[in-house]
Amino acid sequence: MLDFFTILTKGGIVLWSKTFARVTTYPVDDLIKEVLIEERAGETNYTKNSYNLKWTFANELDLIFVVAYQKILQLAYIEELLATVKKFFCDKFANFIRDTSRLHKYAFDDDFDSIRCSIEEKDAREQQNRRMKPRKFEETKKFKTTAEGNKKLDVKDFEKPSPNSIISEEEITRNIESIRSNGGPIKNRSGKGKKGTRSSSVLVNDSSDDKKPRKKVMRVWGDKLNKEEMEGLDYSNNANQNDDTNESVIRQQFVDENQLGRFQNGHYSVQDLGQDEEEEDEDEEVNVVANGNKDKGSSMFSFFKNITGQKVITEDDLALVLANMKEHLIKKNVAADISTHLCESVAKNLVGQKTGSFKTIKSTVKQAMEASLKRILTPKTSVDLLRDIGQSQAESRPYTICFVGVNGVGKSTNLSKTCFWLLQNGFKVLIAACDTFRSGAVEQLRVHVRNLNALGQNSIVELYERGYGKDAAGIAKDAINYGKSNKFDVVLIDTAGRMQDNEPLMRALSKLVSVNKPDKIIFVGEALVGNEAVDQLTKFNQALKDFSGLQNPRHIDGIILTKFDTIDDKVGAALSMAYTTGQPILFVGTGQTYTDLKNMRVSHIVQSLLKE
Amino acid sequence: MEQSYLDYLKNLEIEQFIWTIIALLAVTIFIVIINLFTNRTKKDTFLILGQSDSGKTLLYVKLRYGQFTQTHTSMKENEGYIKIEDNGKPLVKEPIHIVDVPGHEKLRFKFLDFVPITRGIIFLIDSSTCVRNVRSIAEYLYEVLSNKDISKRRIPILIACNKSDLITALPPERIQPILENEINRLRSTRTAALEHQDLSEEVEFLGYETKDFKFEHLENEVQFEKCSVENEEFKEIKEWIVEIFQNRK
Repeated sequence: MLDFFTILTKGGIVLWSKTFARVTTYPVDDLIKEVLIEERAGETNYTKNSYNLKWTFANELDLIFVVAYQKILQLAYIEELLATVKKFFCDKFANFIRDTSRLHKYAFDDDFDSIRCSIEEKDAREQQNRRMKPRKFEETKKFKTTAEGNKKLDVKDFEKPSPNSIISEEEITRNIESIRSNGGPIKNRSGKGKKGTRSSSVLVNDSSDDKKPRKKVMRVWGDKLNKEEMEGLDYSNNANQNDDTNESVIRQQFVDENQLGRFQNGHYSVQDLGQDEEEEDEDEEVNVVANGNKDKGSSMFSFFKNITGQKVITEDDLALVLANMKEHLIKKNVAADISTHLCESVAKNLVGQKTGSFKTIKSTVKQAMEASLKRILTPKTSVDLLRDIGQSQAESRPYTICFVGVNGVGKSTNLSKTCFWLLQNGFKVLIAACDTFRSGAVEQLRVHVRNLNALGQNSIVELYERGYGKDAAGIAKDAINYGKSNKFDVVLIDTAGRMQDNEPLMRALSKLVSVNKPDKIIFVGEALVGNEAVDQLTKFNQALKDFSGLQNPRHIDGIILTKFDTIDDKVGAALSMAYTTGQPILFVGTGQTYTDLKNMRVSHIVQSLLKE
Repeated sequence: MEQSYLDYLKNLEIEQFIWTIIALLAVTIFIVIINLFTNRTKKDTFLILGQSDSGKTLLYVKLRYGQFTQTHTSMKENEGYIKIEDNGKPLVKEPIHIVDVPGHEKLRFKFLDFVPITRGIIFLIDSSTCVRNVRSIAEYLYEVLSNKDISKRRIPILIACNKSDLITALPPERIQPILENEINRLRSTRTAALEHQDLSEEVEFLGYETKDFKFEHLENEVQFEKCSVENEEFKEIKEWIVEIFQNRK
């Protein structure tokens, strides 16, 4: 069923992997490059070629678990498998992974097989039960209306904060227990995985012999969950002691640490965060006051633990900080969906990590957010336009740049600014007036051309115009041909502004692009937009894709952000646009004169975004 | 009456607490500062840079553990101490700190954090695909070479042309002029680029203004070597590290 399962560090070193079928491409590399590095880890699924990949992080040990299977398969148990393997692997090899002084051999094959088999079998049995016994369904439906059913509903409501995680955790412990109890014999008989499987399946059978009672049992477990979980952990510790004393001591330490951290978090973090809102600088002292009034012994300890850092971050700790962070980003004009995605992604990368020395959770989150913002805004392709133009010069053809965008964002203005910069670098520029719609558009460009000619000493810039009402794609085509025969270096195509929902105009734009194949399609967007930025960009991209009729449709290659001088530190649009397209922001327009076109500095944007 | 007395007690405790905190903070800040200073003075780190898929992590694993393992694209830098041995005989007494920085375009900037403690840079190139990727390789190399700190401190750079075992691989003698050519072009476009929003950090001009770019013109010592990490042919890299490490003052 599975194609492969890999456990690797975030540094890229594979610790353990198992391949079930020959893998020809490199889906894991693609996953890392296209999803994880791009801060889209909030997603849960990635499809590449014929594979479907799912993954999970173990941040406390900096591990990634990746599983791949054929995308036509619908496997319901993958998440459970990932979670179970993660817990088992982290518990068993924690000290191995932490010790980086040498490469360890991870003897995990047998354990993995038994985990996989038991989960697969369980899944198969559940499916079979669902299929074979339709009456069961009726019973459960009826059951819901009974008193016990109500009770069950209550339990569900109670578990609402994170029902999935709680249930799965319980299942994980169960799975691990069932395997642990078999652990000894399996290790000894390394070659006979099949037998071990059978025995483990028997064990699962035992626990779920009859369907109806088993379900009841599960419900009761859900009710008094903590105790059950604790017992589960105790049990595993006992098993460890039998297993290997030295290892188990360390493992016990590991478990204890976790419990300690959680306990304190529950006790502590809320106060920390609540105070955080008021005064950032003095939150340490305030914490003392808050805790000092309660009970001193434990609060002293947790206080020190907090200021010295070294506490394990849980989802609950993050919830409030991230909610604040999200709000903060939205206030900075970042689109709402994007700040949500971003916060989810940051959370996934932080849960389980320890805070650094002398760091609160808030500062840790801020640091992680800064790194992700930097990652998103850093271009992944070259933004060196001049180098591109040099390339096309060598091929003796004009380099064409097409400016697109909605009405009134400053396409023509920024086109002329770009033109000025190109002229300064000694290029011969042709401007194609393809805005044949708005009256005055051609005249506006004519004035710009006159100014630019007057400004430079030897600058050569011409306007190519064919009046109003004509087909823009045709004019652009003629302009490019004219530019080629007259040895222009660059052709700048000015298009009419259009709203992203106006289908006829979007079709016309798509035609212009597919007919002329410009080297760069630059989207001009206002820095003033908020949520609209995402809509504009996705719809422009979608139109270029849908209406082109080409095999490899074009997309937006870069962004110019205009009116940047008007927004102070509300620079969210830059983030929204870069995140939506994954394309770089080439320039920002910062004023009214020809020289007011600047390169964007990533660190500047990141600072503005995080500034209180 | 009793209430106010309790309040008084509480206030006293709070005050005491604050004083202990201040004292503790003072001590810890002192320790941190001392730590920072002692770290700053040590500049013995070797960086492994290069594009994605050029074999950085594999080189790191090989140097550190002497073993092979499968690797994928890194999301995070790997760092650790290595001991360089020749037939079981250690060539350098102290362990050497090496850092493998991810090569993905969006993660590259992390190398800047390590520059202040860098002793030498190993820049890996996939010599089988370097003609196709010359622009992106040169852009990264340009970024490294033009870094103010790197050029001012004359950090030596080894350009290791990896994967020399492949049929399509070019020898270092061929790669060098290709890179020089491309950096020459980049130099002219980069100096003509628009200025940055705020005051930009200064970038060094590479080579001499009137002449085409050559690696010899640089202040830094740049050396080309061919290697094949997968086939264990990277003796030159080890020797280079040892040489640079022992030449330190």
